[in-house]
Amino acid sequence: MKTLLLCDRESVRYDGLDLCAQTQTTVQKAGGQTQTIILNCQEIKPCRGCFHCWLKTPGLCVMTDDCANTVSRQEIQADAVILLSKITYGGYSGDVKAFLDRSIPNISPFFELVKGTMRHRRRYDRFPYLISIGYDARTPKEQQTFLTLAERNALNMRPPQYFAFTMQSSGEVEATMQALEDILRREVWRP
Amino acid sequence: MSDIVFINGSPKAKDSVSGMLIDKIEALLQAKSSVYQAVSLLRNENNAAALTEILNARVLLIVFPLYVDSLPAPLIRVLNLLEEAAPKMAGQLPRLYGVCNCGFFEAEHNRLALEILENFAHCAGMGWGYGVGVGGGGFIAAQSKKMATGGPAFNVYSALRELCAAIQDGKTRQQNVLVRPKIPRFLYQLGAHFGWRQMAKKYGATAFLQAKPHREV
Repeated sequence: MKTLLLCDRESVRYDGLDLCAQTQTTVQKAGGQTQTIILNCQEIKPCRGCFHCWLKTPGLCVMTDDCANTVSRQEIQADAVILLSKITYGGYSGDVKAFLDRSIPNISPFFELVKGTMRHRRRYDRFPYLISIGYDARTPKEQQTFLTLAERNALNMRPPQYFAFTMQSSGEVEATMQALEDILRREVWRP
Repeated sequence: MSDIVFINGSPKAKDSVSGMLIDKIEALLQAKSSVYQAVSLLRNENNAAALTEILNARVLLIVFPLYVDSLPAPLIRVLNLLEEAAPKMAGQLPRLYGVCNCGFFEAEHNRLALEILENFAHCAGMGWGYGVGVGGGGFIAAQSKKMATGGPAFNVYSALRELCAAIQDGKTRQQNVLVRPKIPRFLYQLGAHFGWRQMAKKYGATAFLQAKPHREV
C-alpha cells in the first residue's frame, strides 16, 4: 500500500524529535510503503486563483516551475495520504497549506450538493485515505479547530475514510504513533 | 500611522473579490487607512516598517478568500510574522476583524476560516472584534456596482455597513455574521457552471474539463 507522507519543515525537529521520520517508521511498521516529501512554502508558489487548472489545462496547474503538479500526481496515485503539520492557529502550517492550495486541480470546478451543502465535484473516481496529524497545538480550542478542519477537508475530497490526530506536546507522540499504526492496520490496509 | 489597516489576503494580483470588498469597506469607513497585500508583505524582505504600522493601528481588518476550507497559505505566513513581531510593540495591539468570502453558495463554509483568524488573534495578544463570512462570492463580484443601492446582494452590503459601524464604535460581537446574496441556490449553481463553460470555451478546453491527467494507466 502506497502512502504519501507530506510534512512541514518543523516536523523534523519537533521538541528534539524527528516526527517525520517517526511517522515514516510507523507506516512501514504497519506494512505500508512510504514516499516522504518535506514541503517548503518558500519553494511552492502561492496559488494565484486564476482557475486555469480547471478551465485552461484541466487537472494541471499552469505554474510548472515547482513541485506542485508532481505532488498532486503522487497524491492521486497513493492509497493513503498523511498530512503532518504543526497546528497553526487551528489550521495547517504555511508549508502544508502551500501545497493544499495548489492541489485544487485534483477536484472539478463544477458543484454538486453533498449532504445538503454545495461542494466541488470530484475529478477522480477515488481519493486516497486521508490522515491529518497536527502537532504542537497551543490550546484545546486549536486542537478542536484542527479536527473540524480535517473533517471539512474530507467532505470536499471525499476519501473512503479520514482520520485526524492532534498533539499538544511531544509526550503524546508515542501514543499518536501507536494509534496511527492501529488505524493503518485495521481500517486502511484491511482487505 | 493609520487608524485602520487592511490586509488583503488574496494572492490574486487584481480583480479579487477581497479587493472589491475592501474598496466598499474603505468607502463606508471614510477614515485614514492603509491596505497591504499579503503576498507583497512576504515578497518584501524589508517589511518591518509595514508590520509595525499594522501592529500600531487601532483596527486591523483582514479580508481574504477561502482557500481549501481555510486561509490562503501566504496569509498564514503573514500571521506568523505578525505574531513574531507583536511582543516587540510598546502600545496596545489592534483589534482584529475579518471578512472571508467563498465561491460556494453557503456562507457557512467560511465559519472555520474565521475561527482560525480568531485563534490567531488570541495567540498574538490582539482583541477579536468579529468576522463576516460571505457566500456566493462569484455573484457578489458581478453585483459590485449595484449592491449599495439594492438588489440580491444588498444584504451583504448591509453586513459590511454594520461591520463598519462596529469598527467605528469599537464594538465586538460574540458570534460571527454569515451572509449570502438572496438568490436561489440552483440559479447560483447554474450561473457558476455557465461561467466556467464560457471561460473554458475561450481556452478551447471545453472537451477536456473532466480530464484526469494523474490517473494511473
